[in-house]
Amino acid sequence: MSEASQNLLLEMRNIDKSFYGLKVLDGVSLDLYAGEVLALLGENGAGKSTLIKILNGDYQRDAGSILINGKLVQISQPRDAEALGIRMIYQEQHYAPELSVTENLLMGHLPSRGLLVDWNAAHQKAREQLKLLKLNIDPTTPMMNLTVVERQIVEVVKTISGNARIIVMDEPTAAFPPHEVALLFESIRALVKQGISIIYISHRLDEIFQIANRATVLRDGKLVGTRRIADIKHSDLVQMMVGHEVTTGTSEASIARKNVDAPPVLQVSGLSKGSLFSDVNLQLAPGEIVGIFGLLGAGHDAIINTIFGETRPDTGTIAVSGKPVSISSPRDARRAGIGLVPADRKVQGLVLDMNVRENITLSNWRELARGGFFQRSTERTHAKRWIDRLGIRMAGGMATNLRFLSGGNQQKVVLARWLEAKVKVLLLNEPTWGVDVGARGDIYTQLEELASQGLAILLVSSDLDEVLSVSHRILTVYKGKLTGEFTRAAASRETLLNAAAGGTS
Amino acid sequence: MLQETVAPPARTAGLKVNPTLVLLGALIVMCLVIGSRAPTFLSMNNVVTIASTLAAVGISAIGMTIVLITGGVDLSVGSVAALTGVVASSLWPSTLPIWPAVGVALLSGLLVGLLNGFIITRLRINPLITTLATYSAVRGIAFVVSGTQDNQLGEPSFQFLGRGNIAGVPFSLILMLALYLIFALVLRYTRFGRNLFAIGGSPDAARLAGIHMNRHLLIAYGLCGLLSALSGIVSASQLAAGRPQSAFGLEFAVIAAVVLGGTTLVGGKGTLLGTLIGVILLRTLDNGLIQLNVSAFWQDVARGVVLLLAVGVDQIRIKWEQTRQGGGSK
Amino acid sequence: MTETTKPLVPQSSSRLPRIRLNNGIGLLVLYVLMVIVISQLSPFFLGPRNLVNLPVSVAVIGMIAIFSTMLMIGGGLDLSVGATTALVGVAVASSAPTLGVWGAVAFGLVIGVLIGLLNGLLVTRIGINPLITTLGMLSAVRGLAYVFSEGLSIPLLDEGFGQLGRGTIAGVPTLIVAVVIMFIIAVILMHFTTYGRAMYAIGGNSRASHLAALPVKRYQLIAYVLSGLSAAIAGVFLTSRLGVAAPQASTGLELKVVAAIILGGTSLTGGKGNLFGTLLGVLILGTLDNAMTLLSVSAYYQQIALGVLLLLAVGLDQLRVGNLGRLLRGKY
Repeated sequence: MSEASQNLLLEMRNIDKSFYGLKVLDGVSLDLYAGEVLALLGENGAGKSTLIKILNGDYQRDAGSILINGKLVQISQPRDAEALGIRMIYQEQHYAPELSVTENLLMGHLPSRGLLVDWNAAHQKAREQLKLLKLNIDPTTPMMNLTVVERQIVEVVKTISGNARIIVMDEPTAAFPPHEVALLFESIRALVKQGISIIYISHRLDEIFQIANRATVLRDGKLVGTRRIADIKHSDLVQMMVGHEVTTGTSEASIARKNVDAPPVLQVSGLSKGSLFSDVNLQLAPGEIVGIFGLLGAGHDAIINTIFGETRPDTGTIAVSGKPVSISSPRDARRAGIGLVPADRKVQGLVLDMNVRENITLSNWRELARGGFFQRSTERTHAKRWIDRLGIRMAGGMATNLRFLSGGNQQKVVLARWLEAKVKVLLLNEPTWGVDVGARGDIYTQLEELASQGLAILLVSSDLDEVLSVSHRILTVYKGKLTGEFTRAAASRETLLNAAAGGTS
Repeated sequence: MLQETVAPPARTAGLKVNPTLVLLGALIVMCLVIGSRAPTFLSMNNVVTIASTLAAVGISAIGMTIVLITGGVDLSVGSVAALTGVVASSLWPSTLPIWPAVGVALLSGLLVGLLNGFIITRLRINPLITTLATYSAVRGIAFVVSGTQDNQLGEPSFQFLGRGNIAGVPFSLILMLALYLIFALVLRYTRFGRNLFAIGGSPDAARLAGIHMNRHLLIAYGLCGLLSALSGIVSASQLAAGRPQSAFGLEFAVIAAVVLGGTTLVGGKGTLLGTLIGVILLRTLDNGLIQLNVSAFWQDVARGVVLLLAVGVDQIRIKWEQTRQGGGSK
Repeated sequence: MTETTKPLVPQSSSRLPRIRLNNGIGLLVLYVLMVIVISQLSPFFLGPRNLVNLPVSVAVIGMIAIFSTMLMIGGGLDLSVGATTALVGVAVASSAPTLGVWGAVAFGLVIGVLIGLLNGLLVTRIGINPLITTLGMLSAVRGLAYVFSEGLSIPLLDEGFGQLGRGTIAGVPTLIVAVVIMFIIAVILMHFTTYGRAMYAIGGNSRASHLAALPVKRYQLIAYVLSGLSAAIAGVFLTSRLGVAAPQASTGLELKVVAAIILGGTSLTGGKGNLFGTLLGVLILGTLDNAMTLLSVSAYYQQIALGVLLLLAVGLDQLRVGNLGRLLRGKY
């Protein structure tokens, strides 16, 4: 596919974007030819999603220009983008599960003859649309009976209706079971043959090498470069993404490891769960911080969810302080001395209608309430201890409602809860998700201090810097399997990213 | 085929049973069991009797099915049915001849339904609370309107509605079946009907697809009100009176039949055929208990137990299938 | 429906010690206004006899509403309470000759507990929607009340037993004392114990509560049992007061209970709610009933008033949030 013979479909020139004085995109340029697949790469926070949101009309650019087919365009709202043929495929899909593929595709626009729906025509139309993307399923199948992959493709089909010219796919294979991308890729190839262009955002380098023509890499809000896939190697991309500068915001605290020879407080062997992850073995010594790094969809979060008892593993054993434990619910986990700070604290971690004190003490009532009655003063003392220790800041004292705390402080409240519950092992799922840069360092410092006092910490993250900042040891996960183990000293951003992206070169 | 939503068999390796068939099977089994103990149960006479009682619940059940498909509920159906009878009996013979009076009565039911719809879509009040409120208020209005009259509706042509036969088949049954057929066609073959399923299945997807949510919901609740009114008229015809205390508990009977028939409370799924069988099943159960000389009081108990059993078993089956499917599914 | 949450009007309320201004004071003001208006319309309203009658008439609803509030705060719903009240009354009255009055009372309470247990298990263990569950139970239990009474009212005239509903303790009707005690227990439970805190948490975010290692299902089960128990207690008192147990007693009670609770500011989805609000709600409803009786207004108008009041209360909440204008224009 030579570029010279192609049309330049989209040009984004020197895009700038700042939020509250923080520059998120700095002179980023991107070009897209008709009928190509362009991979958009970069770590979390590199600016990919901001760039896309500008293209999509969700955000407004501060500077720079956008051209479609050589003509300047203004995209001030999503409708403008849609009119220009720009479509987004999100991970969150909206569909009616009981209705057929046809009905979901043609929702609101079923073909009719007079008053009645013409089902034959409807199914036929659906079949044609599906065939365009090489999807060979019976359109009368209810959506809920399709596999995840098939549903994703149906979503694509739905999206390309109308004059779609540019489709942005954001981590489309994240929820796919491993090795099942072929179907999606066939659909993408079919789309491309019709002259539609795809911007493919993904961390999965092996997939990118299969499907993309070129790759644009962003780092820290700047454009690193654009290369043709045919001309480069895996490691080149990794190097572009990672760079060699020191990134700001990481904790520089020394990683001294205590209790090196102490018996492990947590032992996991042979843990497997369906297609999520298999044969996971790990050990955690008291005072050790182990980070599990994986990219979106690697299954690393499912691992700690299973350890915490949210789901039951198919096989494998867990032992705490040498004693095997059977964990089938969070209550079992807590009893065994394991706590979990979940990923989405608003939905999974906190009761937003309650105040700080109540949320902190939520898991340790046995100590704070005698005979079922709360000892208010004891409760307050305990809560205050953690508020001071962790530096939780709130506007109105511990009676402040959780809604009014910042993300970082909310996260600390969840942390405090498990500390109050006196766990031996603390699991964290994306510890600083949604927490601003300043507060992150704070949380890392807290974690290190807690570790130095004997707490064993297992955290899961898709943020490379984070994992490198805090962990003593780092495990990488790719498509449900552990692909590497590194000590802090031996790990580098390149090696980690490589291992987590499934590459070996 | 009256199966409006595609019944999912295929892919999921599980119990591949069509729920409607199970229901039908249960009905047949029940008839056989009762018939063996009480021979008069299966007599033609009794069958006709059962058939004539179906419309009073069955017609309203159509409306409830529609509302449930959109993900809502309507607890005011009984009150509407009662109101309708009262309005008709107040207007006849003093103010209007019989059929215009019936017309106005039906209109009143439609209006209540539209009011429900308005409150739910415009004021954004939860359907449960809304229809709970109208359930109370409309019942009260029915009593107030009825006042001290005698509520008589003994007009001969009107009586045909509830008590007449065509070739031995109760007219009310024919009317009901015709309505089932019509609405099944609407649900299956019109855009409006399919949009209702879409709204219930995924309000977000429906909105994004440009479906006019408020309009559809307003019509759905209006239809429910109108159909409940019709049920009330049939009832009044059978009683030859429009009493404000009639149709007490109709909402439960209707919901039970609809849920039994396979329509869920969640929305997006529903079948009029299932509802029809559910209505027949519950009415037959009522009748059967009488035939077995079981005290009429057991009817309510039986109804409650049957509902709980049916829904409970379904829930267990769903949970069982979920655990079998293991992890990884989203 | 409640678990399969329908989009719900956000209810405002809060807990001890601060009753948030908008709703609590608003209700109080409304109530005071009501009292003023009614007292103008009827000279009997503030008379001594009525001042005793009124609380008594709301006591039964109040008993049930108290624990139903707790249940709703935890995200549950129980529409079978009226039926339970009737069944327990019938059970007590019909078994009194055999078990003795107090044995019969114990029997009745056990029945209430069992019904609550069944409700709770169906909802938490089998996973049936609470609306369907308690509707089904409503039918079954009401039916049982008719079955065991054979449709007839059963008298129970026993001096000692009658004291419950008609006697006084230090000049205060026993009934009122009972309600007050139940109220105090509930308040303590909800605001001072781990159970109460858990119910707020579970209703507010059951997923987070589960992940925080709270026994979500067990606590919800307990709430259903308490609801059934309170209905049973109400049934006992009602039978005692009337001297007779009727299978059709308390029909429509659940509606009043739900209306009172929602009026008082508790949210149908859970996590927010206030026993004091419920108290006000019960008083408002009860006073309305009482006033209408005094003014010889047909009972049927009461029903209309109930419906309208419920809609107003919820609708006003929407208004307060500022949505009403926008909503009426059809935008959301």
